[in-house]
Amino acid sequence: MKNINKNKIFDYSKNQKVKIFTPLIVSKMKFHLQKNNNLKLFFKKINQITQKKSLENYPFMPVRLFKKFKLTSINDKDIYKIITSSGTSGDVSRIYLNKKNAKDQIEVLYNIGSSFLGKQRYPMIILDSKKTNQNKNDFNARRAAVIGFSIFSKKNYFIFDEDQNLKLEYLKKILSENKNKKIIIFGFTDIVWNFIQTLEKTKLKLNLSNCILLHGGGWKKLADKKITNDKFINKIKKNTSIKKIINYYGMIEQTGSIFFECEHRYFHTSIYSDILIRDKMLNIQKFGKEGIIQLLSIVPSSYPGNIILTEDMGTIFGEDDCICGRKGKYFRVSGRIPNAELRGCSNVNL
Amino acid sequence: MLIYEKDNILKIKNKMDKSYQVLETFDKVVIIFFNDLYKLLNKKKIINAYPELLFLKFWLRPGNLNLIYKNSFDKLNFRARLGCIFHIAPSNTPLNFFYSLFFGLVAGNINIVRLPSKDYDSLKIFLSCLKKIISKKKFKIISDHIFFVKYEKSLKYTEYLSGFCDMRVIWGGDNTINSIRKIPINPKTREITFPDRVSIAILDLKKYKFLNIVEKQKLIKKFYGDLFFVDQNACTSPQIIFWVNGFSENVRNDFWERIEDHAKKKYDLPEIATLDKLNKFYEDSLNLNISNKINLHSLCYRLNIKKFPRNIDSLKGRWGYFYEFNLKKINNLNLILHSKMQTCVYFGITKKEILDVVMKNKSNAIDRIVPVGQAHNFDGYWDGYDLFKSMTRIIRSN
Repeated sequence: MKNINKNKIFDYSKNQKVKIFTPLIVSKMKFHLQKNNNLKLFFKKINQITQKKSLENYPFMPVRLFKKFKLTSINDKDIYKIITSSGTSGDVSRIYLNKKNAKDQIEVLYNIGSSFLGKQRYPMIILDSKKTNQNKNDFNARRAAVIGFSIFSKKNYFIFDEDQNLKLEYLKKILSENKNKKIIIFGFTDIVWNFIQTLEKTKLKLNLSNCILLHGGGWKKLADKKITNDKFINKIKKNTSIKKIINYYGMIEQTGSIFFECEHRYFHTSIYSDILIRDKMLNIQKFGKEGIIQLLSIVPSSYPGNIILTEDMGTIFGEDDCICGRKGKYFRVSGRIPNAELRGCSNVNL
Repeated sequence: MLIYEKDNILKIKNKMDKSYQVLETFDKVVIIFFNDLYKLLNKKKIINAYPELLFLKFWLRPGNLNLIYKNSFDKLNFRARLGCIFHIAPSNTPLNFFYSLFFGLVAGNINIVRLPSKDYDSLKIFLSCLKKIISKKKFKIISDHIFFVKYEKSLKYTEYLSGFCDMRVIWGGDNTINSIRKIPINPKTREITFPDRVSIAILDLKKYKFLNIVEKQKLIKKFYGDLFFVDQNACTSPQIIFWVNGFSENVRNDFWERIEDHAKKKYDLPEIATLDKLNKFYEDSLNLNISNKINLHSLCYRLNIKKFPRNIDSLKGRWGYFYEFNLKKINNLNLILHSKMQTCVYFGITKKEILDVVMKNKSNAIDRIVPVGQAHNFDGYWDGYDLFKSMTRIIRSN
């Protein structure tokens, strides 16, 4: 990572990137293969393991594996932190970090975030309660995100009470104290939605024109309610004076190298990350065609999460030529892969 | 024809007690009824869009039914109906309840049928056809013998219906059976259950090798139907393919390439299926001793396993995911038979060869032995039961 100019993480063209990115991924995967016996077994029976330079041919880890197996490339005594996915379905991903990996995550997140937000720190309004962020044993994705994004914060303001209700008076107070200052409002997408709905109900026109809304994750719940990104943005514009909305997309398996949406509403890969889209047969899909999202990141080092196959669908629209000026691939996420209805002889209803 | 829902279900017993016309086994009116149903389905073009309806229509053709009546008939004993049968049909297939109902009616019983709670299109179409026929005056007696019920998870209704039926039929899933069994039935009430099963296929490699191309294609077409029917998720779907008389990789590759080509033309799978298969493959890579390498871009994943595991619960693929094992000779089947195994599909060997091994085996494995192409045929014999006979009683009169 030392070769990377951290002020220019969105300036690497395809050809420049390949020289830095590919060897880094390959060497990390080699390391994991040495240290991680499960990984060795996973890849052993795949017939296209190649040492060829193209990462397209390199085997990938379906994210479900992180829920089923303990996957680490370090000794237990070096485990510094375990992040768990905030899944409510019982199955939880566990990501094992050593100190270095944790530090790299923060560094990369900072480099990506500051390229969009600037290098100064802002007051940060967090759509969550202080309580949920105090439990040290429960280091889940939501808490990890709050802590992670706190690197952009001068001071954190948790504006929900323990029952996740909005503390409206407190919010007003914060806003009046920070008049004319830039403020970041941070929250999970579905919680932002609820927040805006609450504001709508109170019919209170708060002046949020100095706020940047930073949100991500939680799209699944909105998709279930059939709320699209457009609808989401329109609702915010209608009810608040927030001008800048930044959506991010990230996986717990690749914390740090997340994707921010540009002014034209495309997510962008940086020098730290890459994306591939695969069709049903797991072949590479052309730009413009929807498929299964595969993500690559140079960040993971204490666990084998560098090349993962997500359960999300998305489309790449191009590379190095987004009108926002950033290099790298730009893409959109269309949502989770839908569950299939199982036919067969089994009765599921009692 | 009424579908009983909510607390209306609790009126069924009363309603039942009020009617007194009784069907006999193989009652003429039942036979005419099914024949009329077949004729009506034959006229309906819309059913062509639904494989399960087409399948049902084909099953109801007079030739097939006559054979089933003939096979079901007990030449030795006089058989009478049981009374009232409570059919708990699979909820994830639209029309499977019909086959259970069919034998219930042929046996002369009153049938309470739990319908899938989901509104499948094919189910709606079928019920409207059934309604049209059953509302004819001459079939009044049939309509008195069918009570459809529909409810979401509810202990109350299952308890109520279990309380007075003379037979309870539970069409699987182990979990379903275990939880329904906690609900008592009367001492005299019978119960049959259809638990989770695994099915296998045994193929003779040499015989395959010497088929000409036309014969090969014919075989592949039949076997494809066995393998991919309802996404390989039926209890009759072959999960494990055993080879006898050779294990030549070239010959097997030829076989699987043909299956793959055929499936690619015929079969469409959702993205989630690809992920399921991929995850299953990674898990199996940890747990099984696999000797071949897998091309992740293929539709059929086939894992040939070197050592056959004792616990076969995990050998259950879906969406085109198969295990392959070199059995060498048919007698070795003796070593791997498992009571969970239900259907054995065969090619190139005789049913007698398989039967000989099965009969001498100490497990109670295998209830069906059928040639390639017939894995999912339903002829009234299932999991070792003769459905008609199970739904009747013998009146011994000397």
